[in-house]
Amino acid sequence: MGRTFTLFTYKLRFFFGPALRGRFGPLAYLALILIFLPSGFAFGVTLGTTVRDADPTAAIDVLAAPLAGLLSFGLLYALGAGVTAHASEFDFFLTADVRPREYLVADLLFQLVSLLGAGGLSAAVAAVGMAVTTGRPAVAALPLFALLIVYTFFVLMTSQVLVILRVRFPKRPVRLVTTALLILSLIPSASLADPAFPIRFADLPLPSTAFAALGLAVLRGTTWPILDVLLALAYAGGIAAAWYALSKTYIVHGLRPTMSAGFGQVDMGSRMEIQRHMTARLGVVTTRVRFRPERGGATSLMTRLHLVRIWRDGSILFVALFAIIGILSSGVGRGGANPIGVVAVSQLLTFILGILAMNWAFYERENMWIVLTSAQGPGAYFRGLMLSFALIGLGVTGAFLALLEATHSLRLPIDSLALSIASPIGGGFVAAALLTRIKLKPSALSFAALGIFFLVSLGGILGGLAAQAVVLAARAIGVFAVAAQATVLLGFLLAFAAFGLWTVTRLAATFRL
Amino acid sequence: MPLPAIELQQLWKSYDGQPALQGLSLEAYPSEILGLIGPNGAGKTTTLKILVGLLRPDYGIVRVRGHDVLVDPVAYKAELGYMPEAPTLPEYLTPTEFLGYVGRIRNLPKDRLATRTSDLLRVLDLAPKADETIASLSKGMKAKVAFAAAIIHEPSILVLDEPLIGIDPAGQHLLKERLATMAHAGATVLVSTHQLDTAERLCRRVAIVSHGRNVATGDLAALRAQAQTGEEGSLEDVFLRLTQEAAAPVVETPRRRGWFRRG
Repeated sequence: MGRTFTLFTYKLRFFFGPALRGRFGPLAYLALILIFLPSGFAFGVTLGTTVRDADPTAAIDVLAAPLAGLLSFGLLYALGAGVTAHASEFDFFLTADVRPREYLVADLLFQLVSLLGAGGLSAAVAAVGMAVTTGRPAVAALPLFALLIVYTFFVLMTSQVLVILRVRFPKRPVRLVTTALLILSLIPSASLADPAFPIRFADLPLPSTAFAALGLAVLRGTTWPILDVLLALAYAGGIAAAWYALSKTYIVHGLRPTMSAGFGQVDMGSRMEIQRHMTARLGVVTTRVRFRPERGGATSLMTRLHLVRIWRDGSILFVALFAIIGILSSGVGRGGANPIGVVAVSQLLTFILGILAMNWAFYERENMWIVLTSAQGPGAYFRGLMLSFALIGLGVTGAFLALLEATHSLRLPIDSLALSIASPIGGGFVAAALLTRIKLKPSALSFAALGIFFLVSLGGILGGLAAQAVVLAARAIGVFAVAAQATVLLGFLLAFAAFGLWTVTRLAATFRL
Repeated sequence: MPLPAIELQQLWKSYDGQPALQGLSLEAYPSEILGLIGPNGAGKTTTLKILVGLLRPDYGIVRVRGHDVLVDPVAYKAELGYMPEAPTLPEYLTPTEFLGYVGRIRNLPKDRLATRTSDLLRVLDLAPKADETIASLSKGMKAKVAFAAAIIHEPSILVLDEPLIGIDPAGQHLLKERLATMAHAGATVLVSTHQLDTAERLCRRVAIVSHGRNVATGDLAALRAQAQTGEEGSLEDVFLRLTQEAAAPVVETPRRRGWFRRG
């Protein structure tokens, strides 16, 4: 037990230590935690409102979906690493006579504590939001939060069990089974987008369903359904028994270093290795879209270069995933979509640009030596960066609007449309402008990294609001015809983009590597 | 003696108060390969980065073909090719695409891009990997791609920082032949290396850098004479003697020089 605690504290210090050191480390950490409190509360209120107004089956569906999401993350993790380990642990701890179970317990505790440390407060606030919205006292959040912790522990144990099985039985199709479980746990989520979808959480004896039913009982103040209690106990007990039996297995040879950096840190070496691995693996498919350097002008060349980069280095997968999450969360398919929701989702999608900008700062910036040692200035490079971001944002927004049109026949008023279209241009502009100035260091969590993320989104919002204001102003002075308003909007968008390109060019002239 | 293609005078540079260059001076002439050798942290990479415009000196003069590069820090780069130590490459591009991209940036005419790229890939034995992403290439192949990018526009001044690291013997031979050909055609090649035998055989002259200063420049005979190692002394003997003799100087750093004006 003594060694388990030592291993646990080593992992904890390694992970959180860098974020809490330094002049602004604790502040940045606190800011990151606090930033997500409002969204945590809003998430809880949204869930609570839906649960309050829904019949029990629909309510279980709604509550089970995020739990299934958590489980799918655990299963996804089991397909990759499954156990957190820093390279130094391999060199100095795993070469000692540490028993596998000691190490696995330390890892379980570390994963649970670090998850709580990073998102526990937001989850607690969400639980309060759910309890209050459903008319229960705030104290009802306590059993809700306790259920979440038990469920999280169950997910982490499941993940470890699958990893042990994979190492213990390398020739058995453990990965295949894990993938099947992952798909099975997610399939019922489709019923949220389409109520007519035949497979629902409430109909299946999944662990997420059982825990969701217990959560619903807490929210409605009813007695806990015995069948679901038994089901939850069976899952938790079953996985605990399996873990106990398997945790004696020697698995060190099947592990690999995965924890290369602390909370908020980026280990460039290992991340670049992952990026390189992904680019090489995807290259068989992604190189079918060719980059034609002999075509177009300088800005076109650079725009295409950035688009090809995003297509080939795996970022496109992230863009697609984030877009799907954003679009689904708008309530497409459930009749919840409305102009306000659409605008909110459009803004949410600008986060994609913020993350792509951070990605550039971490991984691509160092390739600037190619441009800077030539006789061309970096202006075209940054103009291309801005245009590529704007095009990606517009592409995702366009897909979203097309989906709305197809599923709801929802035609947005032109002022809402103005906001949705101008946001990616504003986001792209601010991203490219910031990236000419901000240099991220792969050190502890920094305000610069957070700054890029949030300022890009803010730039998108402000650009969108400006476009909306122009359309509203045109209407106020008597331009009522939709075609005329669209012309005004188009003129503004072109002028806005031109101003962005000019500004970015000016800023790029003094870029330093 | 022709005018020097590269002329560095009294370069000073420090990082966070730690001196990297302390009055380094150097000249390189057309049609020569000048080797830059020195211990780790001697200031070789800093010198090269200043020359190619990636760093600015705190003080000193950098002239390329007689033009002060601190006055016009862009135009001279048209004649320059650069291969950094451990080059980072856009791994998502194929070698063909990357060389085409660099060719465009280096203002190679569009109609010459394809021919030049395929020629270089063929000469450097990269043709079989031409259409795979750079991420899938070995370290040596990546080095060859970086070398190809440095010479795609046929520069008259080539600056190479440890170009042979990670390349197999056959590849090294290929690169050295290429450098010799370029120098024979009139180019100036400035190459930093730790491989003393390579420097001895490849370079017409060698500059030994230690503690941010150029402690000796010349051909092997001149260096032997300066180091007093006798006629049998190898470059390694000369190097060890001269770098040991060059103790860390304690001198005051001159005031920082403005980017666009003379100090």
